[in-house]
Amino acid sequence: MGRDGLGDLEHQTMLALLHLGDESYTAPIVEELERRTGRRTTVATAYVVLRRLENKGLVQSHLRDPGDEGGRDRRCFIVTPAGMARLLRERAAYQSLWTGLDLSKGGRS
Amino acid sequence: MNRPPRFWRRLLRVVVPPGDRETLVDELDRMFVTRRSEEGPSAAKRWYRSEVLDFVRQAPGQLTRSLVIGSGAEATRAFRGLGQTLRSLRRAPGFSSLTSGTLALGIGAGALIVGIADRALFRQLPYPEPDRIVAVLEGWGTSPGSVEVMQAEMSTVVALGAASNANGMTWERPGRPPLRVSVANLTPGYLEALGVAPAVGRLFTPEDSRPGAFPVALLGDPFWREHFSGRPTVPGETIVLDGQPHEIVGVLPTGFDLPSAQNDIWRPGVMDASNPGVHWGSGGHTVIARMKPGVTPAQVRQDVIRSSEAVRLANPLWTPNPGHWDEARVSTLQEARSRWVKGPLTVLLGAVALVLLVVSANVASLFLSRALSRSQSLTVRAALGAGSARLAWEQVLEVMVLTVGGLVAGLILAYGGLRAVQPHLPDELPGGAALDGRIVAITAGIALLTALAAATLPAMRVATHSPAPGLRASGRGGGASRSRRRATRILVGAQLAAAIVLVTSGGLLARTILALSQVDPGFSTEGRVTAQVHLPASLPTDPGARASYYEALETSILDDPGISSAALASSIPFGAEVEYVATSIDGVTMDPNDLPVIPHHRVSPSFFEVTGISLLRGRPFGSGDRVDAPLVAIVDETFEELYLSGASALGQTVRYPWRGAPPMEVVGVTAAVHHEDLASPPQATMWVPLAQMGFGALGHATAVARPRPGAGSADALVSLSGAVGAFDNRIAISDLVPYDRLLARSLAQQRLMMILLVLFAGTALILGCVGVYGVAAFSVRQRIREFGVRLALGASAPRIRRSVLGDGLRLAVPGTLIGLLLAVPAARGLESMLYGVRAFDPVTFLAAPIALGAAAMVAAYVPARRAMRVDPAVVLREE
Repeated sequence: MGRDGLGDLEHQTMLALLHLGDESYTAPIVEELERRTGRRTTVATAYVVLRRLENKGLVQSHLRDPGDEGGRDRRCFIVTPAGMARLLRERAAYQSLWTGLDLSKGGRS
Repeated sequence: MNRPPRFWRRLLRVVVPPGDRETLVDELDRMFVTRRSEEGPSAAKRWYRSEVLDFVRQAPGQLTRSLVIGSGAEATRAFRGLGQTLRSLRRAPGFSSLTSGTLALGIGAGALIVGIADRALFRQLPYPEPDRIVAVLEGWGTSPGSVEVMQAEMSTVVALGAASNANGMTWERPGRPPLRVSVANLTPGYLEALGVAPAVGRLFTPEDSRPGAFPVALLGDPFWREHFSGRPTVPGETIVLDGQPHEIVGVLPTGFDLPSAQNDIWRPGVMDASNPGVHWGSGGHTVIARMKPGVTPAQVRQDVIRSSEAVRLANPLWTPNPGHWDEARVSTLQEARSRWVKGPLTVLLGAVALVLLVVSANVASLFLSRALSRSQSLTVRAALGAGSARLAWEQVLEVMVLTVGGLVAGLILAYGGLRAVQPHLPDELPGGAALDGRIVAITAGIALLTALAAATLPAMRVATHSPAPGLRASGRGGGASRSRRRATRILVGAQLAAAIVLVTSGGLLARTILALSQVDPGFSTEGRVTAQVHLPASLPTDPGARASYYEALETSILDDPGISSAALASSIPFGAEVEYVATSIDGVTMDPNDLPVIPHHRVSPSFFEVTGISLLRGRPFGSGDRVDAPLVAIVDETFEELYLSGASALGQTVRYPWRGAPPMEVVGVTAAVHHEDLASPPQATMWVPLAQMGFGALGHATAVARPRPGAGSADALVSLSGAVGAFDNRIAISDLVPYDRLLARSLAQQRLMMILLVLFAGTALILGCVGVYGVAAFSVRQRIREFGVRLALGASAPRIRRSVLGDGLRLAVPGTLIGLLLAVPAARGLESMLYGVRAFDPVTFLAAPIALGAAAMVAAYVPARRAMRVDPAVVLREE
C-alpha cells in the first residue's frame, strides 16, 4: 500500500460511512463494519483509519453537538467529493477485474 | 458502576491524541454501557480492555504518524522513525528487555532512595522563609519558665516558643472504646515562629495559655480526617482528653509534623508561674524561634548565652551553674531535624550513585554490543546514503524508548519498595518518605541522561561510521577492534568495582546486625507480650487506692487461663518512655547539679521472674513492700560499678534529688540491663516497688505477660488485652506487642540500612556478572575458530575451559582491586553505624572479593562450556 493506495479497511470504512448516511462517528462505523463484513474492528483501528483518510482528503470531520443523546461533542466524518470519486474509481477497477471471471468454474469463464 | 474500569479509562486518556481525547473516551464510554447491558459487565470490561490495549498498540506508530503527517510539523517529523525503532527493538527482545530491566533497577533504586531522603535533605520546610526558623538549644530541652524569660530577653528573634514532648492521653469517645492519642503542648510563640496558618478554624492565642482558660485543642490533619471525617465545621466541637473536655478550635495544615510526626493533637501549654513545679520543673521542651531578617544562627546563639543569666536567676526551684548554656547550639530547624538521619541517608545516596554507575556501565556495554552486532546493517545503510545524523538519531530514539520502558517499570519498583520500607523507617526521618511528581521528573531526567550518556559511545561510533572498514570487516573471522574490547573491559571493571564497594558495605552492616542480635539485653523477651494500660482519669489518685487497683489488675490478668505469669511496671526496658530520674546515694559525694540520671522502673514483685532479669544478690520485692512499709530499691551491677566503684550496693541508702526525699534502702542487685539500645553499654538502673508509689500516683503502666505453656505470643496478646478489658473496660490499651518486637524496633534503622545495601550489592553483583558473561560469551564467539583449531591440534577440552575461565578471572581482577581501594573510604563513612565489627573487618574485606570472583567464574562458566564443546570438524569445514 503506497501513500496513494486505498487499503482494504480504508475502502470498507468509507463504504460503511456512506451506508450510515451523510454524517457519522466512530462507534456506529465500527458496528456497521462488523455487521456488514463480520469483521471485528476496534475503535482505535477505525479511528486511525479515519484520520488517515482525512489526511488523504478522502473524508472530512468536524465536531458536532450530540443533541438529544447528550454527552460530549462527537467527531463526525463525511465522505468528501474526492473520496466519492476515489470510491468510484476503485469500484470501476474492481469491476473491470471481475469482468469475465467465474470462480465456480475455477477462473475464466 | 456504569463506567468502564477506572485504570483502563485513565490509560486510554493517556494514549489518545489530546485533540480527540474527550470525544473518543466518551464514545467508548457509551459503547461500554451498551455492551454492558447486552453482554454483561465482565464481557464489556474485557471488550473495553482490548479496545484500550489496541489504542496503546497504535499509539506510538500509527497515531503519531497520522497526526504528524496530518499536521506536517517540522519538529515532530523526527519522531517518524519511532515506529521503525519500536519494530527493530521488538526484533531484539533480549537486548530490549535486558536494557529496560537494567534501567528499571537503577531508576527503581534511585527513586526509592531519593524518595526517602527527599524531605530530610533536599526539600525546604513548608513554612514561609524557612531559613529564618532556628532550633534554639538544639538537642536540649528546657522548661516553659525559661522560655518565658528567653522571650523577654532575646533581641535577635521575632518569635520564640517551645513544644513539650509528645505524651499520650486517653480520648474518651462516647459509645466507643477509649483511644490513646499523642498530644504535644505548645507555648505561645511556637506556631508564630513557624508562621503556620490553620487549615480550618484558628490557632492558639496567648489567652489560651493563661491559667484557668478553658482548655482548647488543635487537630492534626490525618487525625481530623480519620476521626472527624474531615468536617470543616469541627471548630466548636468538644473532645474529652484524660477526663477533661477540650474545645477544638482548628485543624493544622497537612504535613504539619512538629515536634513529631506522631502527634494527633496539640494543646496550648499553660504558662502558670504560680505553679513552679510545672512551670520550671517540666523540662524537655524543645525551643524554636524565627530570627529577625539578616540575623544569623551564630548571633542567636550569643543572644541565648546572654539570656542564660536571666534564666538562671529566675529559676525558683534550683539554681543552675553560671554559664549553663555556654555550650548551647543554635542551627536552622532544617539542619537540626535532619542531623540524625543525614549520615545514613548520605550513605544510601552514595550507594545508589554506585548502583547507577553499574547500571550505566551495563547499559553502555549493552548498546556497544548491539551497535557491533548491527554494524553490518548500519554500514550497508550508510553506504546506501543514509545520513549519519539520521542513523545517530535512531540510536537516540532507541535510548529514549528503552528509557521510558525502564522508567515505568522502575517507578513501579520504587513505589512498591517504598511501601515495603515505610513501616521500618526511623521516626526521626522528617516528613516521612514519598514519591511525587518532582521526584519522578528528576528521576526520569537522570535516567534519560544516564542512558544517553551510556549510548553516546555507540551512537558516535555509528555517526562516524565510514562504510569501507565495516564492509571489509564484515566477513567471517572479523574480530572486535582492540579499542572496543578495551572499552568493554573498562565498563565491566567499573561495575565490579562498584559491586565490591556495595558488597563490603552491606557485609559490614550484616555483621553489625549479627553482632547486635547476639548482645544479651539482660532480660528475656521470648514468648513474652507487653501492653501499655492507661487508667481512666476518674480513678482516685490516692496512692493506696492506686496500688490496690494495680494489684487487682495484675491478679485479674493472672487469672486468665491463657497466661501463666504477669507483672506490671511503670516502664520496661525498650518500652515506650523509659523513665529517667536523678539519684543521690547517701555517703557518696556528688555534685548536686550533676547527679547521675538513670533509668528508673517501678515494678510489681513478679517483674524480675516474668522478664527473666536475674537477681544476683539480696532479695526481690515482696508483697510486704507497700505504701506504709519502709521504702526499698533494687539496683543493678552497672550502678555498683559506676557509682560505688564496684562495692556492694546492698544496704546503701538512695534518694530522689528533691529536698526532703525519703531514704530508700537497697535490698537487691540485678544483672546489668540494656534500656534503649543494644549498641551502647548498659546503663545504671534502679528498680523500686510499684506498690510504694514513691514517685506520685502512676496513671499508666506496662503489663508484661508470659503465655501458658504451649501457647504462642499471638494467643497471649489476645488473652492479655481480653483480661485487661474484662477487668475494667475504661482502661485504654496501647502498644500491644510481643516483647521481642520492641527489641527489634531498636535495630530497625541498622536493619533497614543493611537490607537496602545488601539489595543494592546484590543488584550490582548480578549486573556485574551479566557484564562478565557478556564479555566472555562475546570473546568465545570471536575465538571459536581458534578453539576449534586448538582442539583439532590436540588441546584437551578442560584446558580450553581453563583458558576461558582464566580470561574471566583476569577480567575481574583489576575491577576488584580498585573496588577494594574504594571500599576503604566507604567503610569509614559507615563506621558510626557499625557495632562489634571494625570498619576494616578482614573477614568482610576478604569475603567480598572471593564472592565476587566466584560469581564471575560462574558467569564465565557458561561460555567456557560452549568453548569446550566446539566441534573442530564443523569449525574447520567452515574455514
